[in-house]
Amino acid sequence: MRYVLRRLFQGIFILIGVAAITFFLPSLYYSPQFLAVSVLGFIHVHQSDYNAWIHLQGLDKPIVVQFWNWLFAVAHGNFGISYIHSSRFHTVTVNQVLNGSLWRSVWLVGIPTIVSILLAIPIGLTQAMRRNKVYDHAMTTGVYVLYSTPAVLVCILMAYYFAIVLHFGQPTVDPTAQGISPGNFPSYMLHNPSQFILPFLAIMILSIGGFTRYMRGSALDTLVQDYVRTAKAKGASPTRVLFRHVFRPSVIPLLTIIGLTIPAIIGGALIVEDVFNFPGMGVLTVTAVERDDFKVVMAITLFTAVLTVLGNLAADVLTAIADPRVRLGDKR
Amino acid sequence: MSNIGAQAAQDKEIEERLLEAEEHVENAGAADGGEVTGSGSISRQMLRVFLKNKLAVASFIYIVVIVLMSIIVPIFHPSSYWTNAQSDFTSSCFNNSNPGLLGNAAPSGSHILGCTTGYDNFALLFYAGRFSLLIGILAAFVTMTVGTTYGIVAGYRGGWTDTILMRVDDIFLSIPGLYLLLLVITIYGRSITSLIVVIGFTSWFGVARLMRSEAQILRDREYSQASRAMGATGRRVMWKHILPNGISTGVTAATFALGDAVLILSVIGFLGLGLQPPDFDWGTMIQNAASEFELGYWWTLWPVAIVFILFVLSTNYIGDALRDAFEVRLQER
Repeated sequence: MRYVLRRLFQGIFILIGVAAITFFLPSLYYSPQFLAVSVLGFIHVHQSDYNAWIHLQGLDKPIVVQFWNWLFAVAHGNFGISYIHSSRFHTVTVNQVLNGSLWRSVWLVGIPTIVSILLAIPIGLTQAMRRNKVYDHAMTTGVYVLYSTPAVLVCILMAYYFAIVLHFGQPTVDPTAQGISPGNFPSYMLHNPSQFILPFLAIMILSIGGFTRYMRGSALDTLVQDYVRTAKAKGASPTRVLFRHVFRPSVIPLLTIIGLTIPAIIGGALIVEDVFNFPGMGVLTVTAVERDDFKVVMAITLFTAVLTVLGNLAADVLTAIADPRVRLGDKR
Repeated sequence: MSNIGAQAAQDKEIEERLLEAEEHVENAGAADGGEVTGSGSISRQMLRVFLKNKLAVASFIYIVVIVLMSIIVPIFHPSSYWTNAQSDFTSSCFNNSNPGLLGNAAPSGSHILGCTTGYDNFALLFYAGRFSLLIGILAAFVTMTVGTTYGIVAGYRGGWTDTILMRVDDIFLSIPGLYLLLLVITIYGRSITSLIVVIGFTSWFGVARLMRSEAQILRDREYSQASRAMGATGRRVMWKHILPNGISTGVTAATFALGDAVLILSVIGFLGLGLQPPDFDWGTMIQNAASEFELGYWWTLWPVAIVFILFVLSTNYIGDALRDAFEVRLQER
């Protein structure tokens, strides 16, 4: 329990640090005057109007106070206003720009990742059991190829050879998906599988290589342990050894790796979403960066970072629950 | 970045290898001879171990060839070619039967790799290579310089300095790299210089962690202790003893950093957030080819895809081989 509390405390500290970085990087760069001009424009605007706007937005306060206000608003789910989309006549909030994209992306990334973990565990285990056999070598080579092909190429090649040549799935997601709310999105995906099969497959292909590789290594480490040899010597059947002695200790370390790969998966999803035109944060990020809409980029960065921190935290806590050696380790 | 989990797994692997190597040092007196055979200076033994790895030698030759080609091939085209090629309908890329209409002439004697939107693929490949390699190498250099310094200071000083520096590192590592990169690009622009600086400064966190654990080990070696006992300052010990002895880890990490930098440059290039034509890197080139490729012109994408994948793979193989070669030295130490 003390371990879990300490991990939680660290997690909160890192979250605040992440928020600080995403806030201070742009805020120290853009002057309030610049932002005021970009929102209000030049025509028929006096310096007093700019000053009034700056005061209204709270941009004249000390930067630390601004950070606190931003943090407070973000904690309530309000990411502020987008300086690019807003004009003198109407304000557009970042939330309006995001419009649920972030949660749609979570659906896209989450489901295939879980599937590929569930596939990687048996593949890695069987590979380790048949080490250096033809099956192991074939899988290792296949996994290595998957693992080292850049996401960009995986997506383009899939979109062409599957969708256009083989007519398997659609090369892009329908634009109507843009309007589906995150809550209804899973059922929408279930009803239109041909639109989403390729992005799902792409994310699976991109994530399964690393997981399988790690699973194989971790199972190999477990197989040489003394207790496995003892169990074999006492005459336990291979299946019993596998499920009783090898399975748990070799799957537990995978949890940590899953936590560590979350940033990479989210990064890879950006490309997958861009190629398949998925209405998630990928396309949104690209447009926001193109238009220098840093408030939106800030919100997305913070969101992905929070997901990562929470993912790592969950992985560590689960490891501690599943593996007493980790929990008790710090007392020794 | 795009190889999901690659980074994390790689770092972990390097760390594990390091520990393994350290064990070798401890057992140096024992019968465990490892791969070291024959005699000769340590550097010659390292070279021998490296040369034994055929894959790494092939990778090294491949990278040298790509670098040379990138320097030489673009010389044969005037700089105006890159700005005009797409609209120069008189060029031979356009006057070839059906695909020529789009400037995607099929491979032939005059265009051995075919054309993409008016550009000769062969020339464009190495013209883009110039940008990819230049930005990649310089960004990897920034990564190494910052990461090594940061890691060594944290590892050597220890105590509060270490705690604070490493917590800051933790925070940066928790932000998905690509998004941090995009946030910084949004603010600081997308010129070649800013791409180098931005890629360099957003990818040193893993290196710092690695160099820290290395510095922690080296700090307690006899020569560091002796140097301190003779009154050397911390800075001198770090500069004269820790850096030269930790450089093996650094060089290995630098090789991986080069591959990663080229890869991430291609990702942002592909997303249209990197260089803009007439400047090309391999990512921009892939982006330029993607829509043509989906129309069925296979030669627009495959050449750049193969050259690019082989380049990234090569850096990884060389990194692996260097790691093995440096283990020889660790055993001798």
